[in-house]
Amino acid sequence: MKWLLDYLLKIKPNFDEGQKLNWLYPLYEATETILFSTDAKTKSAPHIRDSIDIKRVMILVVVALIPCYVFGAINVGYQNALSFGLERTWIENLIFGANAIIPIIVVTFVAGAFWEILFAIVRKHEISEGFLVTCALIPLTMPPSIPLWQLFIATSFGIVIGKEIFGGVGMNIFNPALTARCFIFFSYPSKISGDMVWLVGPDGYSGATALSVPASTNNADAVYLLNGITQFDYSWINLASGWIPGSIGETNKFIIFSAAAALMLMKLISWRVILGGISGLFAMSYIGTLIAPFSDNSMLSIPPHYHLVMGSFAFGLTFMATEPVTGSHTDTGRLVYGFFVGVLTVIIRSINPAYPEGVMLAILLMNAFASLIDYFVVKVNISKRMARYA
Amino acid sequence: MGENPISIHVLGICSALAITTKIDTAVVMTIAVVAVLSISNVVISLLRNNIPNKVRIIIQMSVIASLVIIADQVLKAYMYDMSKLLGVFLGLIITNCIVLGRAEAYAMQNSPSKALLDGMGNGLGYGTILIAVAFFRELFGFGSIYGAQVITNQIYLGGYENNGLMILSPGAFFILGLIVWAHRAYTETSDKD
Amino acid sequence: MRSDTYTIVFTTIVTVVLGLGLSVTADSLRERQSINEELDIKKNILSVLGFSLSSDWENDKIQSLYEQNINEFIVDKTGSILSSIESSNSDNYTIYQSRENDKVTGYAIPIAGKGLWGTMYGYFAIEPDAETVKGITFYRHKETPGLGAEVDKEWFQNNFIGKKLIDTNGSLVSVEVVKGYVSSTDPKSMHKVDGISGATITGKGLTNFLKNDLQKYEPYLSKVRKLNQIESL
Repeated sequence: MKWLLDYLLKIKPNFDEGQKLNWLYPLYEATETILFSTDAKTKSAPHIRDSIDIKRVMILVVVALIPCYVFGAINVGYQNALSFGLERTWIENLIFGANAIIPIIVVTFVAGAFWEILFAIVRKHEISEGFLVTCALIPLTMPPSIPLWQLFIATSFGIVIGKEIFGGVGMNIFNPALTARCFIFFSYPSKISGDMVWLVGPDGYSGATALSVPASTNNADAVYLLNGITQFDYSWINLASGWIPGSIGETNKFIIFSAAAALMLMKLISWRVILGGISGLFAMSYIGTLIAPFSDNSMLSIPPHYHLVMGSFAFGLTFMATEPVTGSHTDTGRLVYGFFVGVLTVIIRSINPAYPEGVMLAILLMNAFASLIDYFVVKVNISKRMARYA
Repeated sequence: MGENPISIHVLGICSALAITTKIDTAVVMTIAVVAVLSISNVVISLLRNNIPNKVRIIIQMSVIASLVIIADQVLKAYMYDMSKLLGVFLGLIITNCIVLGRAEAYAMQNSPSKALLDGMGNGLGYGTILIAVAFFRELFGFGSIYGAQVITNQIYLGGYENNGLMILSPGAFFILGLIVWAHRAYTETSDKD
Repeated sequence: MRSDTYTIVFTTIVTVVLGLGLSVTADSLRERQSINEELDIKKNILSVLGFSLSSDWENDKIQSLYEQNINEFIVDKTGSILSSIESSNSDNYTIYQSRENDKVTGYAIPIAGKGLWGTMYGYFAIEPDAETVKGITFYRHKETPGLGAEVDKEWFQNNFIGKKLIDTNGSLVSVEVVKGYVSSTDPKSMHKVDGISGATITGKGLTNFLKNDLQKYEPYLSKVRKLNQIESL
């Protein structure tokens, strides 16, 4: 590897201030620091506390996503086999799924890299690896049947409107990956939202997602309805282990919660957000089950442990709500922030007639309120101290 | 363009959101705003030496409100379909800060001929942005330009879809934001040169 | 500083002048406006009854086409036709009957009801046999673009044409918007149309208010069917 470093160092002067290739410096810098460890010191948070820097943080999050990708690919293949009534081994499913997923990943990264590099060059700053995490998350939130051109536009929207317009990594208010998904959700609703299942299957194949089953029948018990579905297996254990149609990376809750545990142990994501989120979800859905007998809305009768494994709540909470930039920054604030993500998810799922899934909208809404929560936490803290020392 | 009411002062965006899903509504709205703004500027300017200072805002408001109501009535009588599309937003020209703003800031101090030009200039500046926003929203939201389908059936069969976000109000926010961004970036760099 | 008297006098004059101006405009335009409103309704009725209309049609052409072909009357809840004077009662409903060369070619009724985001308004047309659907249109709604707003589209509206409102026993079943596609083997497929994917609530709302509105007209429509039977014998 010595020759590569030598070569990089040799060509470095070409990119210095005043040289012809100076405008390409961000590209050079990115190549050098990805290949070799850097001697530059971190200028913005998170500051070095141990041997970890922002690049390693990002890479670890991406590593945590890999199991989601692998399971996602197998499941895409499995759902396809199911819809055609075929028998396939898991290896064949994996290969089929990989064929469906890899173009999605490639398009996302091409779009993301294009905008990131463009803005780095125009604004003359270094390329931030933040976009790698964003781009690694986007495909997982998409149904496998998403048209690639829509994905390209959505990724561009997420990166430009979700991030660059605010000044780049660390300045954004809304999670860029969710902004991208939100864009498709409202722009091309016939490809992602509504109440259909999205899988790579035969033309005209349709069915109901787990969440839209109770949403479309009044005056019934949700669990009873779910277990009555024959097209897919919507039992609790199967919802949790993810052999259901859905977005690529969100179906297997065991994998997601293991990743969450690992990331929490490494202190890369805040356990407070996760704890807050799950308690919010449980609290609100428990209240829902209390109201359910008096309402004809079957969504209210979904018990808390079903809410936990239905839809993309687990994925959204683990990988989106915990994003350090767009969430709350105080410890108490994180608990409150997570709690309301959980509460809002249940409210949007149960009461909103149009969108059976609520995690995305709940997190984006709480992103907007995150700094307000911090503001009050700090205020309360100040007045407490004042009282103590007065 | 340096003083454009929308892109520099970010005024009057309420109606900019509501009536810019198609170019034809934006054009009619532009004409209505130009007419109301010019006439109200001229009337206020003619009265400027006689309006008692205490009640000047009320007098300006009544002149503007009357003109808007007349515009609304005329539209209902002669362009019924269009007035159905514009709905309440034509009446909301009354609350458009541009109209009152020009009356108070310019027509009260200047001669009728100058006030007329000022009114037309501001109205057209406002209209340019409306039409620009409407152009993008109609193109991406409906696949047409000024009612003429430009995105052909073949393209739709090839998997293209109209963008539903463009028809919803946030679509206008995004387009407007991007236009303001581009405009400011351009004027800032040209200022430096 | 001017005196208060001046202020009051000036304000009064401005108010009177503007008030006069407004009432004169409003008054002189009123007739045209009400004609426009009527024409708009007539255009909708004509189009649901299958008269081909293009937007550049002259107003008086619509007017004359309407006068020649459409016969408006009011029925009460027992299905008997009333003279128009008693029309103010809420239990009375308007029917638009289209005729060509003295032959009835269809009936149109106004329909309205809740979709997902708000009330949808439209017209529903029935063939002269009073049991086959002739067409459906919507002129105002607030449904989601790309999902519920597809009710505006031809493909959706054309699905209704030819469907039956009545089952073999002669009782009203209306037309149901299903979720997904109507399977051709379904024995009730004559009473069902394909739904809009992703817009279940809009479809459900439409199913509900369509049945509701048809119920109101059923007394009259069943009379028409009986009369038809007698004539054919």
